[in-house]
Amino acid sequence: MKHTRVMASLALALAGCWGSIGDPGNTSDPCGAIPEAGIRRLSHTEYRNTVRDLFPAMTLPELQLAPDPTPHGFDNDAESLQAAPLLVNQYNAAAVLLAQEVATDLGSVVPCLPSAGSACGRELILSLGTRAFRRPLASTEIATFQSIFDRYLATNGFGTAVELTTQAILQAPQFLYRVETGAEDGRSSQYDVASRLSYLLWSTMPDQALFDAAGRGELATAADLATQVDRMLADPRALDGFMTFTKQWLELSRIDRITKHTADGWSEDVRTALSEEARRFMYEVVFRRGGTLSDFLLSNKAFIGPETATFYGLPAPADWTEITLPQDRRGFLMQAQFLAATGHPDNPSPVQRGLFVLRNLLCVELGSPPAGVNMTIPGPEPGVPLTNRENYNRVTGAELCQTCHAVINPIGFTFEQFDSFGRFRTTENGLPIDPSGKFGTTTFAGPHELLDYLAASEEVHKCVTNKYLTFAIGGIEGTQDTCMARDVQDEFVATGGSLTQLMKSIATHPRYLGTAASKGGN
Amino acid sequence: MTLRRRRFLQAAGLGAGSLMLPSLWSRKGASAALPGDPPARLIICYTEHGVVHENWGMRRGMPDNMRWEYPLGPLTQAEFSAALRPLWRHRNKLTVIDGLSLATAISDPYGDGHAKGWCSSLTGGIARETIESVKSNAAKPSLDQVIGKALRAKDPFLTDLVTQEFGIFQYNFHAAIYGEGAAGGPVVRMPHLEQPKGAFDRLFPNGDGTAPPDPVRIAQPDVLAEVATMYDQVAGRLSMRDRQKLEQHRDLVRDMEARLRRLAGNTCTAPTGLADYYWGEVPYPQRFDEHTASFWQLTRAALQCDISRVVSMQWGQLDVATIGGTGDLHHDYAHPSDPNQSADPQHAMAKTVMTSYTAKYADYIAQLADLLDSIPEANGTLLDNTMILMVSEISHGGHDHDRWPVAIIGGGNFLRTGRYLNYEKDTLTTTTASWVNDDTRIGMPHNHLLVALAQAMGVQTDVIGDATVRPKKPGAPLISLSGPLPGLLL
Repeated sequence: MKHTRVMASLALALAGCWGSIGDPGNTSDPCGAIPEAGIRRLSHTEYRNTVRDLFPAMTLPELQLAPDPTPHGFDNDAESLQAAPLLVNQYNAAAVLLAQEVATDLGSVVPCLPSAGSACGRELILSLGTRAFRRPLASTEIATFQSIFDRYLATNGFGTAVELTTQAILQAPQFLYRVETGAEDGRSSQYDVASRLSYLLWSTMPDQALFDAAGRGELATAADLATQVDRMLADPRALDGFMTFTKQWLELSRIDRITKHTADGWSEDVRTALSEEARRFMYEVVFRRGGTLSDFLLSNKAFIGPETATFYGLPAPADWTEITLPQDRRGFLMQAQFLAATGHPDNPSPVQRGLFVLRNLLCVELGSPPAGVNMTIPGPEPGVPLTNRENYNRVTGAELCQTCHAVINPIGFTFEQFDSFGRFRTTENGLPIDPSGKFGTTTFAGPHELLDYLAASEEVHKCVTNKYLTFAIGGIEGTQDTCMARDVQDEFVATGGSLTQLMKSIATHPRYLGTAASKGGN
Repeated sequence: MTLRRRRFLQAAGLGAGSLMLPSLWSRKGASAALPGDPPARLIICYTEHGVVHENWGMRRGMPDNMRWEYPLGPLTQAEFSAALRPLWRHRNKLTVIDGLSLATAISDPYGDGHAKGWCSSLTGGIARETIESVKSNAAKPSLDQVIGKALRAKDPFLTDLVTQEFGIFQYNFHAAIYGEGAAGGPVVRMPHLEQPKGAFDRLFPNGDGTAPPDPVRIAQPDVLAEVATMYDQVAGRLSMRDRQKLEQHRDLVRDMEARLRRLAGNTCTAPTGLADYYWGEVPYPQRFDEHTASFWQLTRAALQCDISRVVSMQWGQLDVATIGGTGDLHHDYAHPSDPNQSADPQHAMAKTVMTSYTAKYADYIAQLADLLDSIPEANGTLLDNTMILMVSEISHGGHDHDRWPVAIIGGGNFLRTGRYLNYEKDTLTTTTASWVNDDTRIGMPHNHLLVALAQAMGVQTDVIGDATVRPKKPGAPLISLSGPLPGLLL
C-alpha cells in the first residue's frame, strides 16, 4: 500500500467539486469559539426519553412527532430545531394524551392526597415541575402553575386541575427546550451542568442522584465530575446516549429505508436482523468492552443470527452468536448491515459506500450533484456483460461527474467483492472483480488495505472526534480548532481511540460544561 | 401584531418567495370568482389500484393520441362507462380527464408502482427515497397542503384546519398526502383522522349541544394562552437568536389557541348521526359504508362552515367480498386485471370485479356530490364551488402510470364541466428502463392538472412539485411541468 498524507492534495482535487471540506469557520479567539449556552429544543429522542423518565410508573401512549432535520448528520442541531405548525400540534396532542394518563392514574404522579386540594396541587407542581424543567422552579413559575391549578380546582375539581396543569407543564418552553439559567458568575449553574451531562451521556433528563449532586454543588470539581461521569457511564442509560450518537454517525437507520428482491432472500425479518447485528457489534465490541476506533474498523468479531448467517456463508445458529469473522472480513464496514444498507436492489452501490467513508470517517462533504443530473444508474446494455465497477465507471465517466466521482468511486470500489446483501464474491457476470481503490494518492489493493489506512489515519481520528463534538455541542460551531477540540482529539489519540473515553473526555471538559473560568479560558 | 403574524407566516413557510411569481400565474381560474362569492373548495378522493380502462374510459372510438373533447350531457345512463355510471346523474357537473401521465412517477427508477404513485400523484415530484417499495416517502408537499398554506397566507381568518385529512385504513393503505413536519425537516405523511368521532371533536370542540361539553376540552384555549405567555416570559431573557425561536413557537401556540376559540364559537350546525364506533367494532362492510357516510357529513360541515377549504379522503382497498370476489383484492383481482395479463384465466373475472370496485367508489362520491349539491350558495350550490377530484396511485392493475384516470365532479364556477377531455400522447417517455424505446411517447404530465386545480383555488403558482422532468431520449430537452392543464379552467 502506498501510504501518504492526502488531505491537502484531496482539497486541491476537489476544488471543482461542490460543498465544503472541514472547517466551518474560524475565530479570532485564541482558544476558539465556544457556542453560547443558548436554548436548544429537545430532539425527539431526548423528548421521548425524558417523558419516559418523567413518568416512570406510567404506561406511555404512542406519541407522534414529525422527524427533525439533520443538517450535520445529527437530529439535535440547536440551530435547526425550531417550531413548525405540525410539530407544535403534535406537542399539544402528546401533552393532552400524557395528561390524560396522569389524570386517570393520579397515584403514579401526584405525591399527596387530593383531599389536600390546592396544597397538594403545589406539591405536584414542585415535584413534576422541578423534574420537567430539570431545575428548581422560580417563584413566578410556581405562581403561574398554581394559578392554573387553583382555577380548575375551583371550577372542575382535582382531577381536571391536575390534567390541565400537567398539559401546561408539558408544553412550556422550559420543558420542551433546554433553557440554561446560568450562575451569577456567568458560568453554567450546577443544574445546567447536570442537564449537559445527562443529555450527552444518556440522551435524557438527569436522574435523582444527579439532581441531588447539583443541589449540593457537587458538580464543580474535576474529581466530582469524574465520579459522576463514571457512574453515568456504568448506568444502562449510557447505552442510550452512545447509540443515539452511533445510530446517526453510522447512518444505522439506512437499513430501515431500503428494500431488495424477496427472491434474493430479502424479508422484513432480515431487515430487523441486520439492524440487530449492527447494534450488537457496536454495543458489545465498541461500547461495553471499551473498544477503539481500530476495533470498530478492524475487529474480527461479529454477531450473526439465524437470518444473517447465510450472508457470511456460515451455517445458521439457533440464536444470536458471537463469531470470529472469516479471513476475508474485518470490522463494521465488512459486515452485512453496512454492505446491505449501501446496496440497491440489483447491485451494490460503490457510490453510497464511498460517500459513507468520506462523510463519516474522513469528514469530507461533497455536497449534492448539480441540478438536472440524471441520478439513476442504468444497467449494462443487453448482451454486453460488465462488472458493477465497469458499469459505474461507464455511467459516471463524464468529466462533470468525475469531479466528484473520481474521489467517491475508488473508495467504494474496494468493497465490490461484497454484493448487495454483503455476500462475498470474486466474480460477477463471469468476470473477475477488481477490488482495488485509492484515496488521494494512496492506493489500496482491496478493502483490508483501505481499513488499515483508515485505522491508522490521524484524519480519521480527528474526524470521529469532530463527529462526536458535533453531536455533543448540538451543532458545528466550536467543533474545530478550539481548545476543547484539540484537547479532546489529543486524548482520543492518547487512549488509542477509545470511544467511551471520548465520551468521558468531552463530558468532563470545562468548556463543554460551561464551567471554564472565562469565555476565552482553558 | 403585524410582526407576529409575519413571523408566524415565516414559521409556517408562507413567507414571500414560497410561491411562484404572480406574473407567471394564469388568472383564468381564480378570476372566475368575484369578490363576495363563496370560496373555492377542493376534495381529493384517493383510491388504490387504478381502473380497468376499457370499462372506465368513454373514448367512443375517438383517437387516443389526440386532444379532443365532447359534452357528457347527452349521454344516456347506458352509454356511460360501467365504472363511472354512478356519476351519470351528475354528468353535467362532471369532467372526465383521459390521457394524462404521472411523468414523474414514470421517471422514478426504483420501488414498485404503488409507492411511486403515492409519492408522485399529488405532490408532482419524484419520491425522496426511490428504492423503497412498500414504504413511500415523498420529497414535496402534496397539492392540498400547498393550497392550504397559500390560502392561510392570504386569509388570516382561516385556521390550520383549512386542510382536513380523513382516511379509512384497510389492508394496503398508504399515503398520498404529504406536508411539512418540523421546520427544515423532511416532508412527512400528514396524520389522518381515521375515526369520524375524532374528526367531529376536532371540528366541533364544544360538541353538538346534546351533551355537556368536556371541561378539559373547553379549557384548552385558556391553557394554551397561559403557555404562550410562558414563551413570552422566557423569551425576554434570551439573546435575539434564541428569542426568535421561542417567539416562533409562541405564535404557533397562539395559532392553535385562536383555532380552538374560533371553533368553540362556531354557530354552524354540527352534523349528527355519525358513526361513533372504532374500526373493528362493527363488521365489515358496514363500517366502510358508515364511516364514509360520516366523513361526508363532516366534509360537508367543514366546507359549509368555512372551517376547511380542502379535504382529502383516502380509502384503503375495499373488501373484495363486497364487490363480487373472494380472496385478496390486490393480488387476485387488481394485478390480473392488467391489460397485459389477458392470458391469465382470472383476467376476465378480475376486470369485472375491479370495475365494480371503481364503481363502488364512484357511488360513494356521487353521494357526496348529492349532499353538496343540495346546499345552496350565492352563485349556485356548494358543489358548484367544490371540485371533487377522484384519482388513484396507478393507472391500472399493471402498475402503469400512463393514461392516469381522472374524474372531477363539481367546481362549475371554476372549471368547464360536463365534458370528456382527452389529451394527446405526445410527451417523450421519462422512464429509465433500458427496454423502452427512447422515442416512446406518454401522456401529458399530470403536473399541469395539479397546477390548474391550485389556480382554480386561487393559488398563484405555475408549478406544483417538480418544474421539469428529464426524458429518456439522450440530448432531448427537459420536459416542462409548469403551467395549468389547457382547456380545463373557465
